Amino acid sequence: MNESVLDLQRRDLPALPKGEAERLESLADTGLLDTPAEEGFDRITRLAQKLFGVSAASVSLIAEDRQFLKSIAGNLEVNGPRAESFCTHTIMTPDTLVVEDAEEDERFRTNPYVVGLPNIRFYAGQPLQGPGGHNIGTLCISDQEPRAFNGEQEKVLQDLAAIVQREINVRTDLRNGARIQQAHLPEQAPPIPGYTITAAFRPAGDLSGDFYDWDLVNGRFRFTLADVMGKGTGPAILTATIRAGLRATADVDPASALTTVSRELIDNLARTESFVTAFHGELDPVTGIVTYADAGHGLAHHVPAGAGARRLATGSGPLGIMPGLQWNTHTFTLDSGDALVIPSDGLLELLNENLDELACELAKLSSSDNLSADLDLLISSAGTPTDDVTVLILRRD
Amino acid sequence: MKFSYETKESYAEVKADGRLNMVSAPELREFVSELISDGSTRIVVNLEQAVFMDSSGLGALIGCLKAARQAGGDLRIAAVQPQVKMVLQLTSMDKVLTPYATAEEAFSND
Repeated sequence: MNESVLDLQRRDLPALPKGEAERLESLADTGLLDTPAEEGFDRITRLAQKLFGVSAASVSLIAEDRQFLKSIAGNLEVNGPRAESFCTHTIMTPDTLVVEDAEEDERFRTNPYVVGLPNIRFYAGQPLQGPGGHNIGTLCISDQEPRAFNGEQEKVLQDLAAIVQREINVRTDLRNGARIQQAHLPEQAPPIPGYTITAAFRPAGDLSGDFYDWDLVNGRFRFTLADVMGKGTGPAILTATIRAGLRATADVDPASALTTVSRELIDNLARTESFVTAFHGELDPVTGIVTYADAGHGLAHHVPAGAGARRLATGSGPLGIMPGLQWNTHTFTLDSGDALVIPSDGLLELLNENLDELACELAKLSSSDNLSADLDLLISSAGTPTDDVTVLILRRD
Repeated sequence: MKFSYETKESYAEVKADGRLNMVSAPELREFVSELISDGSTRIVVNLEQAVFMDSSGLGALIGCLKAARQAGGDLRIAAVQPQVKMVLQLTSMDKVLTPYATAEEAFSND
């Protein structure tokens, strides 16, 4: 038992909520702890502060031994030990906790925040829940003057808390989606002697319309980089479908695989007015011959050893555009020191839609020993990406 | 992005002004749908003032093209600017949505 928990007990504050371990896990699952202020929460606390005319309103999260304010409007900032927080009492029950005058309340009259600065007298807090329904924190208001708080006001606080709750729920859902999408990306590339294979994936939001995949099929290295139109949840759902389709067609050449997947998905894609650009290829590690088909992706580059990047020919348009489209197979040889670099168009957008600049940056990335770090560096020097950015590199040593 | 249209002798000309992206794409789609349901099925989208198009913008153009063809007409694009032209070429969609130099030329041969 750590010191902070002993602290809590020494002060005769409420015992820890039942299922404290699960509660902390639930809090962690929201991904909100120790994150910067965000407008989505700040606009609600600002509203609460104005509406009730109090010194402060905050979204407060109760961690193991401390209180963290995810959002604060006003001047009563109390990022302190849990044991001294009002909100740790609030999360003990599902109900609103109202303290009209802390000096008159047994539980709080000796609280350091009541006795000393910021001299809280009035407090009202409504519990907020994390996944699994655990009380992880509160939406609370406080003031240096005691005040009466009637049932109608309590209802307003509950309504505002419900808006915060919805914000938490949506974020948790997106976070969960992102976790599942990440789990669909391949792990470390299969060890293929003589080759280095890496990829980096930077969604613009939680969920991405980009994906990459690779697999070793009968001694051949099969790989894909695809980009579903748009970004966010809808496109992210489609990435899983396309990935599954291309995995299921791993026994035919890349062009036939694209043709099959497009035929299977054309109706679904047409209904959502969506399409997918894809670079789908296969490497024979023995010969270095790359066989590929490009469905309107158009951004893959071959970087021969010591030379500039050369953009590879594209084929027919994207998947899902028109019924009856077919893709052709192209080939080229990856010689010793050569690289194949496939970016998504998010990188092109970041580089001011300049194809020459893209070719130049891809040539640099092609020899990177740490693609993830170098891509982050490139992204941060180019500005804030508005689209998903993904890069896959296949290099022959 | 702003849209306006003008009815010409043999087609309707839609002018798109600004960035054709995730935000404006559904607006273009809606704008053209209304034109089609009002009976204009031969449409030229004049992109002279469209400085940028992303994949959602391209999706909207293709959606509009399909809708026009389904209604027995066609949709063509004109006065395409460099970035839009690049997106059309990279995606090979210039074969489906052939850019014409001017709106007048788009339907001049049929």
